[in-house]
Amino acid sequence: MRRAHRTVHRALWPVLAVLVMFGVAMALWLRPPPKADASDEPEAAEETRK
Amino acid sequence: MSAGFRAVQWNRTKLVYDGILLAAVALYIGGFIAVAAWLDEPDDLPGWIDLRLRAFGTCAALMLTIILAIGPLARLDPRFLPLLYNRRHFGVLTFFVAAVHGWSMVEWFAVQDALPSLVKELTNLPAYARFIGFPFKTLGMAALLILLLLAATSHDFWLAFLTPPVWKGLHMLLYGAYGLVAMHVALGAMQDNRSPVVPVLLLAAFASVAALHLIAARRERHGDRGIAPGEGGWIAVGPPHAIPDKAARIVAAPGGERIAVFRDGSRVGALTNLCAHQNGPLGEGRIIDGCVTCPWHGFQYRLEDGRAPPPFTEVLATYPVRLRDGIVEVDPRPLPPGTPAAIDVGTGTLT
Repeated sequence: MRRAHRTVHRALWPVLAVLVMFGVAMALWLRPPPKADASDEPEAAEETRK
Repeated sequence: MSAGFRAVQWNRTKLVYDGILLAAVALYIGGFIAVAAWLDEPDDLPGWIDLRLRAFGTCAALMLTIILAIGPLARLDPRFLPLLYNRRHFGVLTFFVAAVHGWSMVEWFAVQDALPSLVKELTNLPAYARFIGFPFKTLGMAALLILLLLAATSHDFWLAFLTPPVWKGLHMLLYGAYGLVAMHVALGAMQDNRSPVVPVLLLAAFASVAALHLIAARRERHGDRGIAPGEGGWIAVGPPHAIPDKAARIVAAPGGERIAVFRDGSRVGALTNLCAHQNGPLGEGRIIDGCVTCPWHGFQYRLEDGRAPPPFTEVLATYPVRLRDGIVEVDPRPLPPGTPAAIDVGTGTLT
C-alpha cells in the first residue's frame, strides 16, 4: 500500500469502529421488548423481519 | 507477472484455493440448512426460502469478516500470506453468496404475492428518519452494490486499467460495505431475534476485524515515521550484515514512500517497496531464484535494475545506494524505473 492508502486506512478504521459499535449498541439498547402475545400480529412481524 | 494480457491465468495454487473455498461454502450452507431444518422444519415454501435466506446471509457476513481479517493478519504474521494469494476470488464468491441472500428476500415476498409490501417498505421515506424501524434492507442493498462494483473490477484488467493506487482506493470501499452489513444485521435480524447469539456474534466479528486493522495500522505508523536524511540527503540503512541475506530492510524518508533495501550475498540494491502489480510490500518478500519476489502474488524483479525477468515487462523505480564508512546508505530520490543501481559492497561498484 502507498503512504496515502495507509493514511486513509489509519483515519478510517477508528471512525468506522466507533460508529458501528455505537450503532450496534444503540440498536441493542433501543430494540423493542418482545410482544406479550406473539400471535397478535404474526404476518406483520414476519414481513418486517425479512 | 504478466506477459501480455491473458484472460485467465490459472495455476494449481489458485485451483486448490478455489476448491477449498467452494467446498467450505457448500459445507456451511448445506450444514446450516440441514441443522436448522432438523431443529425446526419449515412447513411451507416461504419457510424454506427464509431458511435459505438466513443460510446465505450468515455465510456472506462470515466470508466478509474473514476477507477483511486476511489483510491485517498477513501484515502481522506472514503465515497468513497464503490466504491473501487469491483473496479476490474469495471476494467475488462473497458477492454471489450475498446476491443469493438478496434474491431470496425478493423471492420470499414474490411467492406470497407481497412484492407491493416490499416496495412500500423501501419507499417509506419517513421511516428513513428513524433509527429503530429504519428500512434496514436498503443498508444490505447498498452493501451488495459495493460488492458488485468490487467483484466487477476485481480482474487484473481493471487493476491495470485503473492503476494500482486507484484500484486499491476503490477496493477500500469494502470497509464501508462491512459497516453497512453490520448495521443491516443490527437493525434487522437483531431486532426481533431475542437470542443473544446474533448480537454476540455480530459484535465479536466486527470488534475482531476492527482490532486487527487498528493493530496493523499502529505497526504501519511506526514504519512510516521515516529516518531523517543525513549529509546530501542520504539515509543510513546500517552495516551490510544488518540487512538479512536474500531479504530487505525497509526504510523511508519522513513523508516519503518506503524503500526496500535488499542484500543478496555481497550485492545490495534498493527498489521501491511498491510492487507494480498491486502495490504489495515488496520489502517483506525474499530473493528467490535470484529475483526479488513479492510476498503477495510472487511477481519478480531483478535486484540490479528493478526489471522483471523476460518475458515479463514490469519495471520498478530503483534508488542509488552506496557504502560509506561501512554503512549502507540510500538516496531517497528515485531513479527512473529500470535504472541499474545495485552495488557490490565488497568493491563498492555497480553490479
